[in-house]
Amino acid sequence: MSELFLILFFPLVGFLINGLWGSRLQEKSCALIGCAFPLLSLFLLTYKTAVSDFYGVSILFTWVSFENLTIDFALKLDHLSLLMSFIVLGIGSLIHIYSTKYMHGDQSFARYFSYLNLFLFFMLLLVLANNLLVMFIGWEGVGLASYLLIGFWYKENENASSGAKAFIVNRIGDIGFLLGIFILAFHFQTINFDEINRAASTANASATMINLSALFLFIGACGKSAQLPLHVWLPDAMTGPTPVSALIHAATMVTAGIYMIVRLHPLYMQATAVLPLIAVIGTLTALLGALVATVQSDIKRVLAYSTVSQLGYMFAALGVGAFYPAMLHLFTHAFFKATLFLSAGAIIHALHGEQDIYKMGGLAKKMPWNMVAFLLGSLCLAGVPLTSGFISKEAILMHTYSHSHSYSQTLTILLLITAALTAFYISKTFFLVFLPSKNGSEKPLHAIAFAMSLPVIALAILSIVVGLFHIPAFMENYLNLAKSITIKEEAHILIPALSLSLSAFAIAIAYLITVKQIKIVPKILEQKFYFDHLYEKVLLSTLRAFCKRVLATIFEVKIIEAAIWSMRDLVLFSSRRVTLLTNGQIQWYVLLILMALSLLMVWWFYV
Amino acid sequence: MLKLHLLFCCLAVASAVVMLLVRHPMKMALALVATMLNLAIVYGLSGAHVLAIGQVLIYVGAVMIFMIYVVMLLDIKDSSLVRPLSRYLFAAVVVLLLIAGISYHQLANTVTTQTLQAITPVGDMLSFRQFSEHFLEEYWLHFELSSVLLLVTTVAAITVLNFKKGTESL
Amino acid sequence: MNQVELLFYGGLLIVIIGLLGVISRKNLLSILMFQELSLNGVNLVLVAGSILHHNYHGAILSFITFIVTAAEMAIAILILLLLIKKRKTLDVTFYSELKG
Repeated sequence: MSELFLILFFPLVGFLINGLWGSRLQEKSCALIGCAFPLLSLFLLTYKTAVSDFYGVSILFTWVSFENLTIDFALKLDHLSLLMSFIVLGIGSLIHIYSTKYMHGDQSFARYFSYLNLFLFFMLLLVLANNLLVMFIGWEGVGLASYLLIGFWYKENENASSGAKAFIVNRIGDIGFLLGIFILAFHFQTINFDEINRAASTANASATMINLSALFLFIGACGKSAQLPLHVWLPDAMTGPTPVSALIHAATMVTAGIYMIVRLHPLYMQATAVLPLIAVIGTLTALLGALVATVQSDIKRVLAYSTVSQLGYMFAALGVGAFYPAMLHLFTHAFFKATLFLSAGAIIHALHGEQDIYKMGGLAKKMPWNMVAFLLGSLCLAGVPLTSGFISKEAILMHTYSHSHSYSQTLTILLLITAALTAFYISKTFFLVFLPSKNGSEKPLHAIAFAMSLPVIALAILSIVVGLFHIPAFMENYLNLAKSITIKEEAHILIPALSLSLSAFAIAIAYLITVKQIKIVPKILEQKFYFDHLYEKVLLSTLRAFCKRVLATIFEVKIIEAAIWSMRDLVLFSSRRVTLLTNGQIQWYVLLILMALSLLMVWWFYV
Repeated sequence: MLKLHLLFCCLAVASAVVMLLVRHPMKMALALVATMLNLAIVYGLSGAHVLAIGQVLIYVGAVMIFMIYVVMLLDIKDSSLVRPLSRYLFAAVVVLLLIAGISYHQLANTVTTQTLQAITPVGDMLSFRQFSEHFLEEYWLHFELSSVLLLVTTVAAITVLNFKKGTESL
Repeated sequence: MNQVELLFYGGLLIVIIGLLGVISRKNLLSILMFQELSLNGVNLVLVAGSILHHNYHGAILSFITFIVTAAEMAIAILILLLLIKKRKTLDVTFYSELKG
């Protein structure tokens, strides 16, 4: 079972090697080291699970041991974590290979690969964790890696501040996560997943505690998975390199929140007060993300808001108790979103850094295979039948429809509108980028290396294949998550019909807009619903004013400087008083001797 | 017999207290002479005749005469005559009271218990004959060393006074 | 109270008075004279001890103390003269080279 730790620590070794000596190595060696370790982990994992019964818990050491709380540094491999590990390592390795050519010529090549490996290590730790504390290490670690990678080209102020924004917003969520851990530790005397789930299912667990802890953990998930209102960091995170966006902000890190909730799904099934909140926030996020994505002009921003929206879908599913559909959508989304991002990266690379879709055009002839990949990804995202995206989205919609609460019909309608909008913006993007238009540049394209094209194609194929070969059905049994909803009879027909018709309508409108050039762009969408504006006005400006007026003047001057100066004064004062003992007067010295003598006599005779 | 002891002991202590109270060094020296004489009488009454004579000859006759000469000849009138007391008086009183109290307490414990048995009278143990015999038998080395000490003192005095022609005298 | 106790307490008292004088007077000569007084008190205690233990050692030691005290007094006056050659004051508060 200790091979699990090997699998976990291989990427860390890669991080250390590339981090410490990478700047002295050639690009090829860095790339080799950077890609080798994740691939090693992947092969080891595949081999071990194929050959033996590799599942179970492996403990490295006992970390905390109080009288009623024991925390081990332990990893757990079961079907759920195995699935996530394959996603992380599989897509991660492909993105590593892609990056070898995407980052070619960058002066911090080694640093990039070391950060990427570091991210893989922490993500694996998060996914394989057996208890909340180990997961939290991974949680924080991927936040750190995300910050490092978003601000990779830190010499631009904008990139550095995006990284900081991501980290800070994440941190706000982490407060909730920690509070959740504390409540669970306090109430259940354990933070082990299995034990929490077991304890929550028993009858005597306190409903308030369960709801509270579920709520706080959900706040943490909001921060990590970019749900309302903590979603503001994800679009700005696009200042990082595109492979980073593909890996971290599409496939793996942002799914950590969903993974955590699925891990604790028995707890969440009992948290009946929190589930509606999750569903509502998820739906609103989905809707908002889709709305804002329709007016973005940067191709990466479109995809970023699309990610926000799809994550909202997953949370909506969790909120109605459809844990398996959420996991399924996570799985399929990882593939097609990574495809979309990587092919967008290829486009950007080919066009020498151009990211504005209104300035692209006519790439269908110049990059045919890329177009196919992007097309496949778009079809999955839009939920066209026969793709994996279709199956997962329909699953979510059917479960939402069949949910027995009064609000779930409203949620379903909103999600259907979101689906339509999704189809709209992704097809609009596709038409703008690939179909001939007069905006396209006639410059010759930068050649795309095979190492870049291969992962894109692979992921595109995988995103289709997963849907085609009834893998979802197999996965459902495999994962064996609790089911709380039976799908209504009419949902099997009604939902697909509705969503397909809406999507078709949306695609048609997109075609009209792009090809026939009709413009309608409301300002509120362009300002991203004024979220950043609100944050700036309400929070940031008050913070800045507070810092400038209060902290810098009163706090800094009166309190801190006063403390420092008073320490100096104290030392000087006491030293001056002490030097009074040596005033040079002999009579004083004699007196001191007699004082000492008297004390000595007292001590000698009476103590 | 005890009454005489008590009288002259009290006189000695009284002279010492007078020393504390006067201001001028000359009056202080005279009070000190009085103390020493009273102490000499006490020694004599206790049977230590050698000590009595030695006290008068050495202390009063040499040391105190020397002190009185110095006080007379160094007729310096400075601030110590105006304000004779230093600022450590109060602290000194407190500390010394403490020491005195503890010493008295311990002395009372040891001496009283020991003298509950009758003290054998001194007799002529400390008379001239006995004293000299014991002094020059057992303490011969001390005697010689003290003579060396006096020699050193003389040499030091001469060095300081610097008896050379033409040099500035003290 | 018998003779021995009297001599002991008297000697103790004289020593304490002498120490008090050493600390509390400003005139250098006064300090020296109080020092003499203190030594006299010590001699008295020695004699008392000699009587208490009925041997001669205390008295002989007292005699030797006479000699040493005389020598010491001579040197002390000499040093005092050297001191006031410079400063011309007998006030002990002005002699504070040991400061610091």
